Amino acid sequence: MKPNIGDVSQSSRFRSAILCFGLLVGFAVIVSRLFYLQVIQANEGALQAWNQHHKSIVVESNRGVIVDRNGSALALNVEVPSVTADPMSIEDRGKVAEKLSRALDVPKSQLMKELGKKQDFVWLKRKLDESSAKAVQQLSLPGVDILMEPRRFYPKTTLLANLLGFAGIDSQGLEGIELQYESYLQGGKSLVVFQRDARGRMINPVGSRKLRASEGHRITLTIDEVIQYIAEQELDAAIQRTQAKGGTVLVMDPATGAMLAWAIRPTFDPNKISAGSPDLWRNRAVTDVYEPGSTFKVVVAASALEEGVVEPDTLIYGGDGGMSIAGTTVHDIGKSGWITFSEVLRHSSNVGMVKAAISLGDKRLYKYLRAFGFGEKTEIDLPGESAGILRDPSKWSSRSLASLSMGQEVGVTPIQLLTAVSAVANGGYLLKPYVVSEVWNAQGERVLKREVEAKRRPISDETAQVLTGLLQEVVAQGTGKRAGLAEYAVAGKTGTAQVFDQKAKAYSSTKVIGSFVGFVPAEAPRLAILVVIDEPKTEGWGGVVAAPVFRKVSEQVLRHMRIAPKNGGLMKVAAIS
Amino acid sequence: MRRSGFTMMVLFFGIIGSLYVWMRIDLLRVSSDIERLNDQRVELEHRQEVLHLQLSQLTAPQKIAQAAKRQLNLEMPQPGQIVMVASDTAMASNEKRLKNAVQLAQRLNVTPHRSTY
Repeated sequence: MKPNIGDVSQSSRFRSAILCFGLLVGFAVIVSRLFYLQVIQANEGALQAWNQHHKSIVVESNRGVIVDRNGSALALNVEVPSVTADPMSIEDRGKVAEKLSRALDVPKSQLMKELGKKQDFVWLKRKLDESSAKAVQQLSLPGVDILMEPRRFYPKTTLLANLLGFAGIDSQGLEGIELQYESYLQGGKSLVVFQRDARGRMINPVGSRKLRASEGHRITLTIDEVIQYIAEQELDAAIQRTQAKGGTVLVMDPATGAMLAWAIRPTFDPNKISAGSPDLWRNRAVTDVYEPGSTFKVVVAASALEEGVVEPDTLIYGGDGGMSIAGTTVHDIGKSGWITFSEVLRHSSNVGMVKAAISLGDKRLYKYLRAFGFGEKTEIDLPGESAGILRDPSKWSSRSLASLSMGQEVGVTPIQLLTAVSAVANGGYLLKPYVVSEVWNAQGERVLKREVEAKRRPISDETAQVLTGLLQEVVAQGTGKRAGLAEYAVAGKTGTAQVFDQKAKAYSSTKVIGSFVGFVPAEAPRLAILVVIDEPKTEGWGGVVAAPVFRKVSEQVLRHMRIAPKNGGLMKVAAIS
Repeated sequence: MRRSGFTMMVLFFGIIGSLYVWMRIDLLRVSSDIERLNDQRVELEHRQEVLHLQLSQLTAPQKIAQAAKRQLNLEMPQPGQIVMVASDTAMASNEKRLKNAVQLAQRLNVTPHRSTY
């Protein structure tokens, strides 16, 4: 039976309709899926695709610059090359390691260890010089690349090194200002983006990779690099002349507490931290304590004068230069007889000062020593500060009062002593010393400004004036003659402290610390300076080793700061002409 | 009439197409220029950093002192070779500082630490 044409046509139309419907449904499914992927999931899809074709690495961005008070850069960054590798895309690792070992001067075994890692990114050598980077580039090794990242430089090398500190390989502050102001100095993170080919190898050119993040804040110090240089030069010369173990010169503006110079020896080059021992990194002017010796008499004298137990012309019997206390004898250099209190200070009489301290009494002396900031931190903006050593009177021996009056049985940091003497210079205010004056962000807005901050007032202006006069006599006629300047009045005090030998449990007869602390011009002080020479070998007295350093530093700094002498120089000019 | 309309339509789409292609090519060219300039900026910034470092190194007081001694045969003045001349500016500065110190004392209003024993 032959099929009916009408039936065939109907069947064909039916199949066609089914096919069309199927296609329509299929097409609708595809369109829906496309809509879902391209519109609804568009962002996620794009991100997934981007991640497949790119590799991002976070590196540190530029740390903030550190400048001195005149804007001269003391710490800054320069982008330097680092060698990276994608071990997954390197076929012959041994050959690559061998070639790189010669170019980078890194042991092959170390490179093999890095290249053996199952990672798509490893550092091979960081922050190298341009010539080494060029040598690596010329090798054109597959899977090995050069990446630029910031490196911290200290252009003035050893200048101010102990105060600045240094930053580590990942640009994190590790010592000094770099550590103390880490939160300001560290910038945001930089994202370095690599493009990858179909096999996951990184292919993008170097220049366009870096997306810069926010830079760290700029820090302005109170330090003047010229004053710093003068202090370091004179300290170096003194150490060389006396063959001393080390030394410290601190220069402060006594009216504000702002530090102008911070010289410490021995020191290190923060550009080559691995070359020096960690002992050299220490900021000894805040971390280390020493017995101040006779420089401490400034504080004892201030206390006695403030309490009225002595006056400049009060007579004190110094006897034949010896005084027995608690089974020991306190010595003077020569016979004294009856001397005034001003002569006690002028000739640094131990007997006279002990008697003044006895008149004051242990509780009152202790109270003043605390008021001058001993036994507590100065709160200077530097890390690792020591509070020094000042025992409670309940723990004193029968000799302690006498010892303290001569600067023994007390441990002070150089910054503590200078801050205390600055209080005499500024009319009696114990200020908080500081080294950072301002912090600026990358947009040029000031985010921090230090103001003068007084902690307390240990003595009155009258006492400060009287004591300044006595300290001027020390320099004019007493032990501090070598600190004197022809054009300016200098007030100060010498100190020669025996070093306590921990092994022998006694004061060393050969090791001393020679020091001088003072301020200039005495009538309107602009500079307070402390000089400490640690264990000089050729000569020991503070008046011989440290006072000349004070004179040389203050002479040059006053000139640099254009501070005119009291009587000007006009008459002298007339005389010369 | 019908042919003329067809020609106009082809012409219209041709112009639109050409404009689109021209725009895409120009976009690529501008992108390439931006990329090149960006690279140049990065390079110049790096150069600036290096020059800044060199400037800081060369202006270090120790470098200047060395150059003054070795190249110019200069020496530090001996005592008596320097004459200080009183300047009005310096005097005014000293007076200003003293005034500031008085203001500071008044603001702090801290009394001396006299003992009550």
